[in-house]
Amino acid sequence: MSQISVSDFSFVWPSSTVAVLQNACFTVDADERVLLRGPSGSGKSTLMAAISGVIDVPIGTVSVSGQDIGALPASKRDRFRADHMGLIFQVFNLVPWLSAVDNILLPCRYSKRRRARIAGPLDKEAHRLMAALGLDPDTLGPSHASALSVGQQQRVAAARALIGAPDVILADEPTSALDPETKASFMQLLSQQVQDSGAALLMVSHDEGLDRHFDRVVEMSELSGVGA
Amino acid sequence: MTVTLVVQSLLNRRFVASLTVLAIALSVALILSVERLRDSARTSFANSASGVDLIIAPRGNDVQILLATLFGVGSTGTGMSGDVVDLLKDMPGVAWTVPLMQGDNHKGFPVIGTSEAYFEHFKHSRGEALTFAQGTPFADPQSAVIGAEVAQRLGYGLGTEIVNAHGAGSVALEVHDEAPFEVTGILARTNTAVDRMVFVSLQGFEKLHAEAEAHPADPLAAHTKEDHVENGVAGVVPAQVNAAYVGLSNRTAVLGVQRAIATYTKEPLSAVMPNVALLQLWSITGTAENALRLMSMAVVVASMIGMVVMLSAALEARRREFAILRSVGASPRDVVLMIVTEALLVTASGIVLGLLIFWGAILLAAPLLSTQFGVTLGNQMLGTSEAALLLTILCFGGLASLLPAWRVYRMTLADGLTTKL
Repeated sequence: MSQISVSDFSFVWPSSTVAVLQNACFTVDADERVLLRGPSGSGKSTLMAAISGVIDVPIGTVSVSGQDIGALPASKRDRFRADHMGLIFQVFNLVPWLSAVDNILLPCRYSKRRRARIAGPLDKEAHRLMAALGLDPDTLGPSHASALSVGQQQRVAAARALIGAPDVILADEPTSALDPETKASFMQLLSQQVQDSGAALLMVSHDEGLDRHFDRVVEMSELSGVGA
Repeated sequence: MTVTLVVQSLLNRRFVASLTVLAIALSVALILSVERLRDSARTSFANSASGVDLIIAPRGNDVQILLATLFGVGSTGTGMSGDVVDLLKDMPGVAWTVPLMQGDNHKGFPVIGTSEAYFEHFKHSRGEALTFAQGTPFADPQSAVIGAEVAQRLGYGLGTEIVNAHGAGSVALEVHDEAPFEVTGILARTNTAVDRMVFVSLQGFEKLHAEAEAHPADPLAAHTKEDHVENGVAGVVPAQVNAAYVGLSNRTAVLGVQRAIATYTKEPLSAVMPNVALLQLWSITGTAENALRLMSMAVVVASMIGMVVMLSAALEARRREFAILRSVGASPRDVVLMIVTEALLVTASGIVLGLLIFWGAILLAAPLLSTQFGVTLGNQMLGTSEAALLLTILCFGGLASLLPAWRVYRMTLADGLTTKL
């Protein structure tokens, strides 16, 4: 069964007349790591917004973990997102006045499901993820997010997306603010952790050279116009 | 859950947040103090006036007479004939009369010349009689009885010799040092104006002034005065008194007595009902009180506006923060709840700090008010009306936060998970 399924999805932003996506069809299986590649304006972010439930989508077009996103009211979509998805953005992923550990544990504040999936104390799990992503939990854990380097912040963001083992990790150009070396090690660690947690990973990026971290690469141009 | 997050967020902005808390605290302390002062003044005055049915004095303003006699503030002006007191005694419905002589002070405390009947009949605080903490009423014309506050402030005990000065103020223009009094009695605390009064016998009081004026142009007049002083020891009312308290055996007799006083032909007199005069006093001071209340409410409103400004100003800078929270599962409602919680927390902290300031202020001001004005501040921590006031302020704080909360609601909906910065 596919973890993410988009079928015949078209979208026009309210302020525009041109459709950014037309009859898009696309699936990501559980355990699968997919890189969605395309230039800016090709509808990558729109697709991410549709999957994460930020924009209203028609019923029957987008489903995640078997749940039709279009059928959920906005407030349920927030809860569903908290329960089933981990998100990583390009920059500014962290609440600056919270410590790294508190940032990682944020989803557990809003999702019972993810809290319940953690065996043992929450702090310990946050520390484990930090260590797995190459951060020293003892020195960096208590420090404020604003005191971390960009590379460290992205790893903390990755740990936050992974905590409580959500079904789907959505990453919106998480590497674009990183230098090439950091980029490679970040992808390496993220990819490994996603595989360990058994989640599906959907990442959008226009970066070249990330293909080896993914099971499949999909070009945005392949999505649109393909009939269902 | 939200609260811990809000606390951390506020700590991150602790400078602005604590200024806001301080502003609210000061406004809360101000409004509480104004209310407490007003209530205490009214209670104190009403308690001082509660046991006297009528005050008879030379014709004058009711409020002035009330303040001069019961509170020892100012004076009644000219005296009235002592015969009036004798006349009153025999009127139907009159239970007792207490003559009063005034015009001297002891280190700023008003000195009242009166008879022993005062201690017997004067009632305060809804019918409580005066009791002696130490000593007895006047033993001889040179005895003095002092109120609890006088005794405490000046450190007087039984047997202390005191010298009075002419005039109502604390500046002694003319000191009667030729005629000292000896303290023979100290009254128990009443929390009314009585506490800051010095009582001497009519005879003692009159003798003082008789001696001071003992060189009249008319030798005959001097003679009659001397007579009175000697007679006075036996308890006869002197020729001139400043006022008299009247107690009625029958409340309905008040109109008859008032009519008799109004139509008294030998000299112009006033019969003042203390409670009515108090109402007049409140209607005079009411305007000032209301102005003061209005001002303190305006200060509260201003502090609330300050809080809304603090919350609103931070919203733009916090857009990213809200977007992040949304991405980890916070709904717009959760974000709104954060803002409201923040406002309630700031207001509540302001109220708590305000209470501490208020209690501190009471502790400092209470002795001063008691000595200077005979007003005893209520010593309860927080009255029900005051608690209700604080609750109103808290609700108001929550209500005021709805403005930034509404803005943040629209903002989070528009922003979604990514900020367009």
